[in-house]
Amino acid sequence: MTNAEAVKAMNLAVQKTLKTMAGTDVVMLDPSVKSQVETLGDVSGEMHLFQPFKGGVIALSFPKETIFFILNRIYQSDFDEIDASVEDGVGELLNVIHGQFRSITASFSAGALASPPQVVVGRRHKLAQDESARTLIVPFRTGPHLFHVYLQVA
Amino acid sequence: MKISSSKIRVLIVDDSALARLFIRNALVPFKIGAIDNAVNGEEAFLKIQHAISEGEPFNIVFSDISMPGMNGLQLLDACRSKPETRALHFMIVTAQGDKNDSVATLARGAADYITKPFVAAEFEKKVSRIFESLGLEVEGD
Repeated sequence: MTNAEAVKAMNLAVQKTLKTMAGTDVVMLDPSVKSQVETLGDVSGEMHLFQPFKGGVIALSFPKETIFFILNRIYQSDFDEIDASVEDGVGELLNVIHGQFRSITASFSAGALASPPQVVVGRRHKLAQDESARTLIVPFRTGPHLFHVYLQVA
Repeated sequence: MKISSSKIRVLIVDDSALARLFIRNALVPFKIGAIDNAVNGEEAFLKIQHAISEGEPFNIVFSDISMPGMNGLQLLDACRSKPETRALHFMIVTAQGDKNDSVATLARGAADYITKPFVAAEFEKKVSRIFESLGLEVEGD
């Protein structure tokens, strides 16, 4: 899978998930590739990728304003702190986005295994990545808010 | 004779509160009488057995596959292995939209399978089919 194919699949997976679950449109911004990535948001979820991959990680990281915006739309509520419900929401959004990504890239990732989502609160979380490999970083905007998806497949 | 949906009992099994909320919201049009939750297969199996012993068995189980501890497929297998739970209707609701998962799930005896994220109309169509097969009708329809 090339970076271009991965970006295209990730864009489709994120768009479908957030449109269906939160009724919100998402715009993909310019992706980049870096090594030794630390997440940019206040709360992040990550899943480790196994078979047929040698290793890898898919992660989602939200500034608190972004995840509150998304979850307020879903719950019709008014989140203003990162609590257990927010952490649960990040984990489930990542789980669904990963499932969609896997479905879209089925010819490459059929039968792929992944860990359950792990959610971490706090900025500059270092992903459990292979430091010799590079990580694809895909920024998105929903409404006025940004968030990032990270993908590394070895 | 048709059974009213207000008389039926449903169990939602998912480790995510957000996922359980989506299923619960999608079930609103069916006017289900009682909806209970479980966060994994072990808790679900205990609740299923307890409900039978109390004389108020569940009619349909909506279960995720990937959960800590006993997963949804293991729960399905556990229910199929016991005479008292063998006929319980399962709908698998999962984020993993792999066609092999779908085939494996139906082969194990689930009534149906839906992939997250789902739109309400798709979910309602599948649940309506289960209602028909169980002779259930939505209260007031």
